[in-house]
Amino acid sequence: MMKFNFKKSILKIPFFLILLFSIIIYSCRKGNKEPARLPAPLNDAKSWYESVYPANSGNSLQNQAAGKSRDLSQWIKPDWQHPVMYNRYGQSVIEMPVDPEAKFGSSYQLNKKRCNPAYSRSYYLLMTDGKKREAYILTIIADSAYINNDLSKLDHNTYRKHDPDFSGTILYFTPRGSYLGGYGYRNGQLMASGTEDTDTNKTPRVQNVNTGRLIANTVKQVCTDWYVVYYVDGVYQCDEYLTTTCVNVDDGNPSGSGGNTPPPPPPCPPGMHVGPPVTPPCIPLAVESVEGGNRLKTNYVPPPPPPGDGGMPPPTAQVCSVDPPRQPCPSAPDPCELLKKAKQKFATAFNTQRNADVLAKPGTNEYGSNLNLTSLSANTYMNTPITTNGTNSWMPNFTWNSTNGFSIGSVHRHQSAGPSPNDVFSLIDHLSNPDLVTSGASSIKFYRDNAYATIVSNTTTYTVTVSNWAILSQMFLDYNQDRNGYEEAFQNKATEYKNKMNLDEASATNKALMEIFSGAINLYKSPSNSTNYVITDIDKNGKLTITTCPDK
Amino acid sequence: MKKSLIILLLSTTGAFTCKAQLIHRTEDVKLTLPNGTYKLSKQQVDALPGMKLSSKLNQSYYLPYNYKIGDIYIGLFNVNKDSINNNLPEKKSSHDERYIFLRSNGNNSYNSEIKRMGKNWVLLISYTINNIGKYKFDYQNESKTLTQAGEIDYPENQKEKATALLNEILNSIQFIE
Repeated sequence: MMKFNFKKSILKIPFFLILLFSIIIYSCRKGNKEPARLPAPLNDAKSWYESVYPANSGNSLQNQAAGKSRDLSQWIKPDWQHPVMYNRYGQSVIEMPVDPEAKFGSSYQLNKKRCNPAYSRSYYLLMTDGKKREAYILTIIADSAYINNDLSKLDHNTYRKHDPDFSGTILYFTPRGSYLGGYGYRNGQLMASGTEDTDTNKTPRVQNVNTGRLIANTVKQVCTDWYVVYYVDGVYQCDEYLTTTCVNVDDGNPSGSGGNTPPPPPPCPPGMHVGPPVTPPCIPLAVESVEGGNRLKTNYVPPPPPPGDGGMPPPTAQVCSVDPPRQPCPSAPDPCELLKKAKQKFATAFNTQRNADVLAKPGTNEYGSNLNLTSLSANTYMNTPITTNGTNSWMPNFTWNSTNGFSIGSVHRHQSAGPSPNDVFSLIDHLSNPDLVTSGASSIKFYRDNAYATIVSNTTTYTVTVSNWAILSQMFLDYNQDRNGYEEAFQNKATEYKNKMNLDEASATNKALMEIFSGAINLYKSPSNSTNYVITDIDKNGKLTITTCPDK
Repeated sequence: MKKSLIILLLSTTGAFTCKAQLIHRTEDVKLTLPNGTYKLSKQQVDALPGMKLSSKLNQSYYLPYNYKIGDIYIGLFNVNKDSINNNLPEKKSSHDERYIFLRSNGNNSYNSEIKRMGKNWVLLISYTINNIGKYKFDYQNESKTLTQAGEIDYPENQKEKATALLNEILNSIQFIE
């Protein structure tokens, strides 16, 4: 039986007191709201975020000037203690709720109707591909019918996933509050985008599309002004105009998306569009403009393809731009003078040698070479390599810098066919090259004035230059809708000419090309290894024409 | 009496069969199109999806003779006589080059081959674009003087039916020399 030793127990008491005291002190220190140490990737992201979006005291939301995007980074911040990290679209994503300290809420307002902010959740998304970081705010606003008095359903929808029956709108903003674009969902399906209203007249407009013999069919266009609305603790603070969308309503029934959920707003404000500016075609002299009047813009913007992994579509750093106004067309320049000037760039001794070298490559694969000026002031070319893409089409490697040269042209080989639409559109595709874009207006003008694409075949050398960038820009939009379909249509046309008119391959493809591009491009051709170029075009009867200039 | 009945029955059946099959005939060729095929007017051809070219082209791509059976379109050119394009291997390589854009854009459906059909030859091109399957053929006589070109467009999920149709058409081509 164990004996209780009172003296020994008394000696142990101070030890227990010290231990107890230490535990209390340690507990107090731990409870001193010191944030837990963050894992390394999160810590890096936080450092980056706080350097790019530093919080400046005294610049609260209410103090910011109205009429501009509210700088949300001065009001809210990510809740770094509740991150969810995953990979999506090849990017590492850190998804975090908004720090609850700000008691932040946001929703949207359609015309004068405000949506319930309780049906909305906002998330910070920090994404990196390992090289570059981006931050976005994703606001998910659910429809009341979808919520159906169960607010917990809001938690089912994030960037990574959404309920199969989710109905509502998602909006992307930058941390500084700039609107990047939105998407609409109905029953889990992405909706078509709302049509952007480009008319400054904001009153509802009416167009009589058809007055049939039996029933007068009236189509109205109903427009909605979109605002983002901000709340603190559920109390309205301010709102901000985003854009206006319009839908056609036929005899009181929406012809477009219809239903409770409105179509999502496009990312750009009225009068602007996503992507680089598109130069409209010039106004031909003595031809009445088809524009103007009370025309309605009813372009249908199809819904984007669903991401396929159950999540939301990703944000994009949209660049909105305004198109320049239409200008009267200049009087037609002398085509022979144009050829003479263009030949100074595409018919140099270097070009002739490079064309021959490309043509001499073995096999039947497409070979090609970029033709890069050493500088914009010189007429000498860099010794760029001749490359191939195997059994695929040759692809130019456009550069616009003093190290690699300034790619004003290219040459590649075909076996027997002339240039195709793809060859022509590569000229305009380069206009979006970041190096060229950032090099300024004079560089872009230089490129436009001198760009060319040369195609060499066993018998003929073709060179394409652009005669009207505005027309080609419009055609490029058409081409980008369905590149394969466009190319196939061209090939079908060439086949038709071969079979119906007994034209050879080169003539059939030239005729098909100029039938499509006449007025937008110049097509010059010469025998192989020669610079005796002639001008190829098509006359008003659809016949191929050849113009030989006096000094060729 | 019995004989007369049999003759009557056979001639009725023959007449019915003849009426059901459509014969495509020009001064250079005769071929039989399957039951249910009907001829399309220019307006009907224009209305076919995918037949309109880019908005810059104000006319449709259409062949001189256009037929349809169910959802399948059949187009025939006039017979080419002594065409400068009568070299099938050359034609094949030019097609192979012109349709490189499909592979470059990630579409690997393109295929081409030259096949012997009895004494004659056929260049057969096939690919799928925007969910429409395409057969393009150049059927040539032995002496390379006559070529019947045509195409068959079909919904992607009707490949088997379209292939049977193609074989039926190719096997029925008779040049009138």
